[in-house]
Amino acid sequence: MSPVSQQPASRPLGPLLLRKKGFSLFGITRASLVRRFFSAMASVAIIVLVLIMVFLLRDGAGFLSTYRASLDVYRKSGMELCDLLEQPVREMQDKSTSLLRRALAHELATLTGEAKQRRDAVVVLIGKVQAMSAPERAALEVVLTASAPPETLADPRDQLRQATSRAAMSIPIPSVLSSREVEQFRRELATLTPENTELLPMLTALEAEFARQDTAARAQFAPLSAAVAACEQAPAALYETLVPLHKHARNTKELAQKRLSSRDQPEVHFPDQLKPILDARETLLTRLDDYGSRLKQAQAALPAETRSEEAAELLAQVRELLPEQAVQTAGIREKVLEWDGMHTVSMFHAALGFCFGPHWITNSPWQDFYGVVPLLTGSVLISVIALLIATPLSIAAAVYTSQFASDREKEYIKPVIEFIQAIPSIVLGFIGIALLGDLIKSVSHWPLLAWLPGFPIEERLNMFNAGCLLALMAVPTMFSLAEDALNSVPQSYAAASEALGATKLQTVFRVIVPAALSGILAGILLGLGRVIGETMVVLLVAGNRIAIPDFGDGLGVVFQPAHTLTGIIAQELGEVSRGSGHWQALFMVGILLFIISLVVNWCARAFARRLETPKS
Amino acid sequence: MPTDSPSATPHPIISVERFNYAYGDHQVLFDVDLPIRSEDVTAFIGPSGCGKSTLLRSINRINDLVDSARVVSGTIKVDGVDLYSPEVDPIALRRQIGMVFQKYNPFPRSIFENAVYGLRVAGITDKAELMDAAERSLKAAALWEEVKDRLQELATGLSGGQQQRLCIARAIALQPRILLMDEPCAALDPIATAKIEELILSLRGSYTFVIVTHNMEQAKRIADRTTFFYKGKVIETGDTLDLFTKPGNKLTEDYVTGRLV
Repeated sequence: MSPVSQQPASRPLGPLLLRKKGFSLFGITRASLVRRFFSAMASVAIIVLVLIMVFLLRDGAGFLSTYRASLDVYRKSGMELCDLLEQPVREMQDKSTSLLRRALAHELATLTGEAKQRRDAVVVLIGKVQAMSAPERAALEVVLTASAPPETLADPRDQLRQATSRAAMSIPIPSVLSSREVEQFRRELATLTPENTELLPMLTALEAEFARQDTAARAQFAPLSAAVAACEQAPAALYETLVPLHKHARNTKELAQKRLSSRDQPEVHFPDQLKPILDARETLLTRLDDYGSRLKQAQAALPAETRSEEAAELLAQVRELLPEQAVQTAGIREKVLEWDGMHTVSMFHAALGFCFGPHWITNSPWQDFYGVVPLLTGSVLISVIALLIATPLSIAAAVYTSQFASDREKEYIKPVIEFIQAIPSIVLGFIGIALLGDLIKSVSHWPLLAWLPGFPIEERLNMFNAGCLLALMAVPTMFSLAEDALNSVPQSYAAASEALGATKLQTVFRVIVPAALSGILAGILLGLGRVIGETMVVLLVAGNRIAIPDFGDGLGVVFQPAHTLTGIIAQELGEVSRGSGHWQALFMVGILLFIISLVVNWCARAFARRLETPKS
Repeated sequence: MPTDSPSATPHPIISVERFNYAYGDHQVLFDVDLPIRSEDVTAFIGPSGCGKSTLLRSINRINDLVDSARVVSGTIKVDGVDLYSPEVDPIALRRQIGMVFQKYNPFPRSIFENAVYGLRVAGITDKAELMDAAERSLKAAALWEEVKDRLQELATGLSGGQQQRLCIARAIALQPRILLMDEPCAALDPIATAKIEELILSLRGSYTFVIVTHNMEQAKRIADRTTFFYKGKVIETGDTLDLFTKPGNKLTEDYVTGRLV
């Protein structure tokens, strides 16, 4: 009798409870084999992550000691002392002379303005006429370069003459030129042939007139000119004293580097090497004081009256600036006196230099600095711009799609927004260079928009441009996550809200969006993670100027070019020698990026977890 | 048993007249005629899918949220006004006809914010007025004593029964004329159920209650009038005691005695 036909109750139970013999490999059953396979896959991911961290740390870890040693040599060779003196003085001098030069230019313009205008008007007119007759000119040039017989030249020549005179008649002439001059101008235009490389006689005359007036004006404004020259020359003696010291310090540094690279070289005895520089310290300080007194002289020599208002304003600024600079000079003096060339640079100092150093200078013949601040500010500013643009855009789109759109609209909106993710970032970079940059620049030149901070802008490639493109890249992530979060708000909330007499809008903004808030925030943070880590677009579009942006522009700061953490690695890693301090510095930047991404992702996860809890 | 008032005072506040209702092409209510008397507790009973919830959800037009839902023909009049005429503002309507759902669904906010949500969306911002309303409605819902010291805590931290009473408080904060309840005790344990029933009995007379329930004992305990639905039609309606003790229809009899599922 087969067991099936038996009554279940009378079937023997014991044998059915025993483990059956099945497939097994080295005593491992199939089920546990499958389980191990999956656990191995999971561990691979974790192991890879750990390896990446180890690898980054291995190459980055040496950075601090390398940088410390480099800064140590920088100090003990006396280079630091030179910079301590020279850099602030140069900055001060640049600032004051540029103000004075601008003041002088305004003053000169009050006398020579008209002559300059007339000359510039003619230059512009010639340019316009040439642009309008460009096709005929090109045709004539072709014939000329083909060295064709002279009789064939007559026709293209005639055509060029006609085109030129047509253009000369049609363009508007600015009112600074008298009617006689206009006549003369049109006559002389006929001589504008490709062979004629000389300036038009009229232009030459105007040029001479301007030069004559300029000389006269300079003589009239001699006090101001003298002040400019005095300011320019003020630190000359100081610089002169520094030149041999520079040479000596660099020499010491080279010796130290040779000693570092091979043990055969003699050891450098820094105190001996530093002696000439320390001996010169007194002279340097005398020169510095001399600079301070020259500033005072320049201050006294400033003319009391000006012809133009702009110059008066600039001179007022200079009057405020010069005493400040005198105070600064005293500060420099103290620093120089306090400076101790034998005090060894600490690891902490090197770490501070990396984290808060305002200069990223590499391959310098003088001294390399690896301060991450200019890169970090660039990255952060660009990310902030991107988030400010992307957040309202993607959240509004998500609210509309999940709450208001019809099913048909949803079918279009979602795939289209998510498709943006498929655009390769290099292609977005093209768009930034070829389209967006020009667009932003030309829009910024509209007189209507001149009140906006930073407008009109000169740089096509800037942080705002990069921020716009990165915003586009962050939108799909932020939109998808926000939409998911909104959709996962229980339907019962909406029903309860409407049953209490709320309108659809009230329901969405008082109940659904707040309930989805943690998911939306998680989306924003993941978008931020994507933006910070993005490389290609910022490398192409952000302008790659390694400097801390000038926040004096207010909001206009966003239209300045900048470099980023990611961009610097991509740009410089290929060119540095493996294992050098520069190489290690780039790895440190990589570690910094890694930490930032880790923190951002961790925050996003923390927010996402909060989303899961309130659903009961 | 609350059946002492005879059906001799026929003042229906809600009158459903030849009402046909459908989801897309699928008709769920057929020629429903039903007067619901003011200040009574009316229970809708019937097997799953009989249309009793749909009728309830048509009375405050919350079914408008369902895209395919539509009235085929007929009317529901409240105090003589056809609810589905274009002049009716569904928002204003829902302020007068409150609703409590099967699954308690307070918003993930503080207890206080839940209690005054209806007033807030109605545009009331005065702090004192909101506080008054919250206290009044929480007291009416017999929840005040339990939550008065933690009004700013998250409502979702309360027990299930408390959450459902908060939902009732939230509905009565607007002082509606009619309160619709869609199986309000389905997700609750017996003790919480008893509290809700007690609450309904204590509020009887202040509001007109319409309650959908699967629990016939509950209908017997709390309802003045009971209506039996079967396959989208009203089979029988009457005083609760009469309907359960001497049903006039074979189907009703089968259902109340447990022979019809």
